[in-house]
Amino acid sequence: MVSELLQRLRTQDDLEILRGELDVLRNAIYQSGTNYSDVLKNEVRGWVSEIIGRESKDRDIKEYFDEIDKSLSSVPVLAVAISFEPSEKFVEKLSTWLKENISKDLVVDILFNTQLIGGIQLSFRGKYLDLSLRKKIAKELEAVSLVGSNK
Amino acid sequence: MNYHIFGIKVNVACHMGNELTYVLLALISALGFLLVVFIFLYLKSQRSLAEIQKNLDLLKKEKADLENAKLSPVNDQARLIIDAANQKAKEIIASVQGLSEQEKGILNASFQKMLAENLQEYKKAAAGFTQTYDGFVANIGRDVKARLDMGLNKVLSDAQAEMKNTGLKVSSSMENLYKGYEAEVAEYKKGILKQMDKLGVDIIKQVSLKTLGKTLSKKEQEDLVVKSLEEAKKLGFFE
Repeated sequence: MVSELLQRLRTQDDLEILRGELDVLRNAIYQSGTNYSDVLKNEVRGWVSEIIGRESKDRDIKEYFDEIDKSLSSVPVLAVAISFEPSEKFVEKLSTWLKENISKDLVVDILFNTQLIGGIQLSFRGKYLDLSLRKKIAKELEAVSLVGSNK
Repeated sequence: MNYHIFGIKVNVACHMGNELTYVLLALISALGFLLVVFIFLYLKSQRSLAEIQKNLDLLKKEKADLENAKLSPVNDQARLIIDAANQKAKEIIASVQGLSEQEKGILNASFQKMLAENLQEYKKAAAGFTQTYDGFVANIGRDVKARLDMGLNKVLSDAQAEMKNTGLKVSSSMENLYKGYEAEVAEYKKGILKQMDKLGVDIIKQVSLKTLGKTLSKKEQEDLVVKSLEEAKKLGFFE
């Protein structure tokens, strides 16, 4: 079963933050004198606390965290370079498109590069694709030469 | 009283015999004096000729020494000039790629200066030889000098010919250098024009990119990203 936690993840940053929260919760389980319930309630974000509480109900908590860890380690990450600083709304839009069209647990690692002019550069599972405007324009101008100067 | 002098019968008085004796004695004395003078002049003349001959021999020896000892360094100098000029030409030709007009001008001036200095040294050496020779012949007689001048003229003409030959060789080196220069410069210009062409295209690209980048709105940029993702999907990038 895919945890809802993974489906809520949009970016690589989200993934790292969640990993940190899970570490805190795991420590609370194994450390004596620490109340796991208090940590779950106070140390992690509300939606994370709510999902973990719901999904781990009536289950072995250690087994649940092992399963989450395993799932997180296999989350596919798509590196996307774009030419502008994205708004929160656009990140949401991008993530939604990727989850709907590619994979529900896919997260995106967004890089900011003005040199692209427009479009994107993609890196995914060892593959690379340049769909930037820079490349397209450069290709169009490849055959251009200054008339008479290369004699 | 009768006397026979040279078969002639002379009949003079006895008192006249004494006067004749005096005349004869005076005549003999005059002839003896003249003989001594002639001998003295002859010996003096012989001594003078021997001295001139000695000087001439010495001069010939000195001339031979000068030709062997003094002219050799001059020839060596000439060879050094040619070698240095050729070496420098090679260096300049080797380094001519990628030079600006200003740099080429500096190198050219440097080369010219080097040649001028070497030729100056050569001329100095040749002039030193001439001065030594002139100083030597100034102390002997004009006739001997005149005869030796013929030899000197030959020596000097040889030296001048050598110098001229060196000049020709240097000129030839210069000519070869500039031929190499021209080829290199032509190639260099060709390369520069290519670079200019590329630079011009790059500028067009940069301007196009910047202009286009600035003219795209935020919404257009965002839509372009989504369209690109769709294109990537169509290309099978995510499979």
